[in-house]
Amino acid sequence: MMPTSSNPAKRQAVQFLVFKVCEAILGIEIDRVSQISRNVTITGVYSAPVHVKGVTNLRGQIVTVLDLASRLGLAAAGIAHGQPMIVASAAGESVGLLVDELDDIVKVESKAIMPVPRHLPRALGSMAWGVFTSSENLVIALDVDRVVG
Amino acid sequence: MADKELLALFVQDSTELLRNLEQDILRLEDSSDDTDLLGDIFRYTHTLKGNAGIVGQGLISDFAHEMEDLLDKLRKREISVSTQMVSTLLSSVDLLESMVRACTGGAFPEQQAEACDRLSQAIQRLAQGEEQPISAEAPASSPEKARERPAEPRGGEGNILQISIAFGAGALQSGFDPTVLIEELSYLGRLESVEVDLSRLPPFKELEPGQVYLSWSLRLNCPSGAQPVRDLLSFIPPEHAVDVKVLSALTEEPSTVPSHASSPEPAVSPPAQVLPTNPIQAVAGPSVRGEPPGSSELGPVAAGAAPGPAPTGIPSSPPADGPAPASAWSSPPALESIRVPVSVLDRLMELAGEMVLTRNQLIQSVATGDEALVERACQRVDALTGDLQDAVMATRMQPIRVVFDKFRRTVRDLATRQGKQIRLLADDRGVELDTTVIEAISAPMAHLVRNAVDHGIEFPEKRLEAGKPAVGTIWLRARHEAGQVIVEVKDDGTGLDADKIRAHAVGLGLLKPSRSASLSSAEIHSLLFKPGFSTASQVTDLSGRGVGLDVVHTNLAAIGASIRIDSSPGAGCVFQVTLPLTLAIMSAILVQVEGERFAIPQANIKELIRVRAQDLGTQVIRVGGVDVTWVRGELVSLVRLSDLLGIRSPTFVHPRSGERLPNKRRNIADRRGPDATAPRTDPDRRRMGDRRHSRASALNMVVLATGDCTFALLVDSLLDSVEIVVKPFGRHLRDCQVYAGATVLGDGHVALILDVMGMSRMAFVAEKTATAAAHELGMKSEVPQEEDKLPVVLMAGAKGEVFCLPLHQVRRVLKVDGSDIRTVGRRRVLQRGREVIPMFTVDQVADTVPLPPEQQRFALVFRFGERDMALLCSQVMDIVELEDDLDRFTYRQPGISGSLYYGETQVLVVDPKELVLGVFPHWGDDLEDAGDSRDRPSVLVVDDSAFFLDHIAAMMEEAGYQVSRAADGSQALGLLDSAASPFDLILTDIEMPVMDGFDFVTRLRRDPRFQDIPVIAITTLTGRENLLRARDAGIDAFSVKLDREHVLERCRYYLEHGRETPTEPRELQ
Amino acid sequence: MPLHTELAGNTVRLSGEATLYDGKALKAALEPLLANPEQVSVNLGGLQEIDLAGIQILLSFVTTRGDAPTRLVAAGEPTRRRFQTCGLGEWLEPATADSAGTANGQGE
Repeated sequence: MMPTSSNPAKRQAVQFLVFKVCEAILGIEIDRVSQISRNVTITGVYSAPVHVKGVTNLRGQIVTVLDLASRLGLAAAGIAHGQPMIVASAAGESVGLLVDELDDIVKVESKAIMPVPRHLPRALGSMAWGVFTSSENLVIALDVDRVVG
Repeated sequence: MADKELLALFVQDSTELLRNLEQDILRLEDSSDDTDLLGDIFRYTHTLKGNAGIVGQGLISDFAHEMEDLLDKLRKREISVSTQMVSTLLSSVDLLESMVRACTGGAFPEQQAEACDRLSQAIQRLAQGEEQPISAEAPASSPEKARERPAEPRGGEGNILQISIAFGAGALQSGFDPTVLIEELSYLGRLESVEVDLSRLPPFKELEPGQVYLSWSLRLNCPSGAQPVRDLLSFIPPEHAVDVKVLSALTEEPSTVPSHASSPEPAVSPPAQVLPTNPIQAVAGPSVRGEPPGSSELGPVAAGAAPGPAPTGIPSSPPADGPAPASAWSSPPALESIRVPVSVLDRLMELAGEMVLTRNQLIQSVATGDEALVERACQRVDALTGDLQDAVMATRMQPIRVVFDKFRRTVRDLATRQGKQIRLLADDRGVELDTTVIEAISAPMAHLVRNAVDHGIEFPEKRLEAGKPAVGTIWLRARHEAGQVIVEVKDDGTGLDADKIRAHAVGLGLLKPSRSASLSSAEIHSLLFKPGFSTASQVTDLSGRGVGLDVVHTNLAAIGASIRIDSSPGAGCVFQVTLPLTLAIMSAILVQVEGERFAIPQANIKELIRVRAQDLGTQVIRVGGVDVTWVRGELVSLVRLSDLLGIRSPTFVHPRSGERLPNKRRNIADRRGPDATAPRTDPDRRRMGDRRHSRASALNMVVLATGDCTFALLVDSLLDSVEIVVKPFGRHLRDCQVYAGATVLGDGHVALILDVMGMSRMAFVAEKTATAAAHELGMKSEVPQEEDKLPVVLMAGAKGEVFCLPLHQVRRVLKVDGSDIRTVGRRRVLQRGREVIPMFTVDQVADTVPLPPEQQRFALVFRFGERDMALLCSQVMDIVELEDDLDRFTYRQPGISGSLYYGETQVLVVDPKELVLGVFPHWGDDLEDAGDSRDRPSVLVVDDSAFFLDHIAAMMEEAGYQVSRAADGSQALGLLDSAASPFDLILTDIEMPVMDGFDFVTRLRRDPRFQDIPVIAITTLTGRENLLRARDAGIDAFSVKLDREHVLERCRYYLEHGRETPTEPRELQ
Repeated sequence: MPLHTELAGNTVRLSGEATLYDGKALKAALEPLLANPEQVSVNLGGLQEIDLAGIQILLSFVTTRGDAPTRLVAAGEPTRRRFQTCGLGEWLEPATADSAGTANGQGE
């Protein structure tokens, strides 16, 4: 259940970037996030693997952009213009994740993070490593490495 | 300027100067008459002398003065160039290099002074025009002297070496065995003491067999000095610590050294040598990173300072066949400064300027709160930052020529030392790479070059015996290809002996003996790269050719490069290194498809072609199931980029309305000429005008070439020519065959770069083109087909047996590489990407000579039911037309339907279906299941050749049709007339007696009952005129005899859609 | 030729190669004799090739047996040369001695 990446259990508290994808409220550890962008121009890549939306130019670097909704198996309403993109670092490279709405940065006590409930849809559940509450919402903590794949 | 700074500048300048001087001197050997060259050499030396004087380096200045005298005489032609002189001059350059280096650290040691004297004398003598017999040339300047001090270490170093060996725990697994090293060292001299440290040897139960637990300390008395040891140790990677300390010089009588140590090569004396400087401080010494070739120091190897691969030593290097551990080496000097073209700097300035402007904009817009302006400024900053990054990267580009030039000296020295004659030819095509890549490949390349000299090129006598010129050649080549950089080291030496490699691999346990026989030569060569291959003990017979290649491979893989070998025994070897494209800048052409821009590397573009819509019917045709076009008389496959990209519903922009509409045209060639059956008075048609004539309806093609394969890529439009920086993809997209990466265009947008090689593979271009060409060969376009001639593909079996397959059954021809063949249970299959094709040989069912695995070089692919199968042969001989008088009796056996004659040769005709069923009888059931439960459609097949009629009928029946047959047009009409229920489809030949196909269909169409039956002509006739005639007669489609796939597909299509009626507004594109 | 071993009483006879690739097999072959308190011999006569891996296994075998006598006998030319060059010559029984032997060498 613990993430393969940094081990937050060792730390007292974890800072999360909270955001929304479709109806799901998700969180990623802030230290895995290198950048947040909006109005990203994405160049589609034909015959790319399924969840890859395309690539974008990030300061001269070509960064692969993943459609997080598709990746998590959530019903997508299509990519709207101006969707925010979270740039996460995984396995030595930067990858962009398209989300619907950015929310806030919250600090959560490690012991307040509970195990992943069973009823989550399979794809989502397999990439989560815990849940916590924030502002009365249940936030699902995503394992960045598993998401990026 | 402070003294220190001045000195540093001097060192920098002089280092570069000496490098140029060395290159020029090397050139002198081949162009001794070149006045300009002589002048340059003189001037360099003169400049050096002057500069040295200014910074107070008297010794350098004096020495340069001596050289100047000699060079002056040379350029005045008072004396002439000799090999010896060149050698002396080169050694002088070496000496100067080390003297220059010594400027910034350390005193000028005694040994160097000695060398200085010696060389000065040599120079003076040469200036006097005194020739010295080559064999006597020795660091000791006269033969007598050489005898007096027989054990004088060359260059003045001690010859007792204290060596400590402590390999890392994983050394054995990587193929480095310290005991082998020690044994090798023992051949270089006399091991005076060997102490082994067993303290880390664990108890038996805990011992891991693969790990290294022992270390050693030994003393080696090496009468020929440290050089051979140095050479040996240069092969060991830095993580395995080998420390060498040279104890002070002793002049002992050399003891009887085992015969190994004396050089097997003829006693060509080395060029007068200069060896460095300070006696080495073992551990404490400064890390002597990467001395340039020509002056290596023996230092703490553990610090990664193994001497460079270029030797400056003595003929008594370890015998080449010895089990030298595989190689690794030090990197070239870490560059402290770099040369940058002014244009790149200008660009940087330009960008910096724009940055400033944009920054000002940003500040202002934030102050005024103008959001729109802020956003724009931000975007501009974003784009500029990217550009800036690119420009900075560009400053790091270095020409690969720098690396090639280094090797000239290496090759010359090595060749001279070994008594071989070798010339080095370099062709770098201006290829540039990032400095880190250059650094990373220097050492592996040096090893390959060295290897080529040591073990590739033979001695002149042997070469002459083999009918080769006495002078061997090594080529160094670099080029851009398919978006990558390829660097080659090629030689015309002995090549690789596959058998020896095989035997060695079996001996090492790397290969099972049973498997070794079936390896293709490519597989055998790749064995050389396996870890541990060249480092296990007793690599005697391999002639050292494979030495170190496994480490080369590992080092290259670390930077993402790959290597392959090609070799023909006796004729030489080519090592080809493919470098990752990560930091290359290249020219490209931008094209557009579906509104997106793509970049195609200029290097792969042969030509850009535009075909007008009205020319399409004749310029582009469909042959053998493939769209092809003629490019300068050559038939070339045509591929739609949108197809390759997987765009399902390609669109096009209507040239008048500007709308983007779906493109229903399936085949590029499927363009309608004026339809003869359409009522010419259709008012709608006239109003629409003929779209074909619109400019925008033209076809834009890019003719691409990769290796031997050429094809044409169809795009929507051609845009500019650009210079781009290639950016690699991340993990997710790396495996896409179609792309080689991406780039950021001037406007900040991303354009994907197409990988031409990948595309050609995906589109099976090579095979398709061959198939199409084959079909074309098998057809006579303008001349009417002779009756009863059967086009076949002739192939060679074993021992002179000749087989054939009717051409229409051959879907494609593949070249088979041993590594593609897998055995799955009883089946042998060919694995190509994701395709798995079962393979067969005729001898599996018929009584023919079995085809041994190494002769299974080509596969002819044919269709069996829904699958592709392959028939193996040793050679595809030709495509010919044979008299269709099949002798069905004499040679009839399972798998062979009979025999035909090709001139005097008997050709056995293979029946592929029988062949497959003969091996796997139960597969026959699969065939029957292919049909489905729908009502079987009925087809009328018309052909006068019984052979073809049978084949086509059988094919249609297999596909689930009910077949009726007619032997010519009038019979066909008769059948149509009397048929109980109408036919769904007609397949007809053209060339028939009594009533030919054109006639038949024309008459058919006159009868209202038969106007709607789709007619497909299956014929060997093509040519533009015939196509037009067919359309006029009312034939719906044409298929060359006979492309099963295409025919069945067309049949399905017409069954579903019926004939295309002319009343629909037709989309011409 | 990969390693081939024969166990006969207190002697194990090796032939073929004793290298990195044969490490496991060699250990397995010596294992039964590890705890044997009587004198044990390892006959190296049939070995055509040996490398550091093989050498280490043999040395560790001898040392682990401690006081129990162990002899490495009948080493052929390549084996002997390798041992000797690496300063381990004393671990082998001298070529002539073949009878019940002397105590094992303990290195230098």
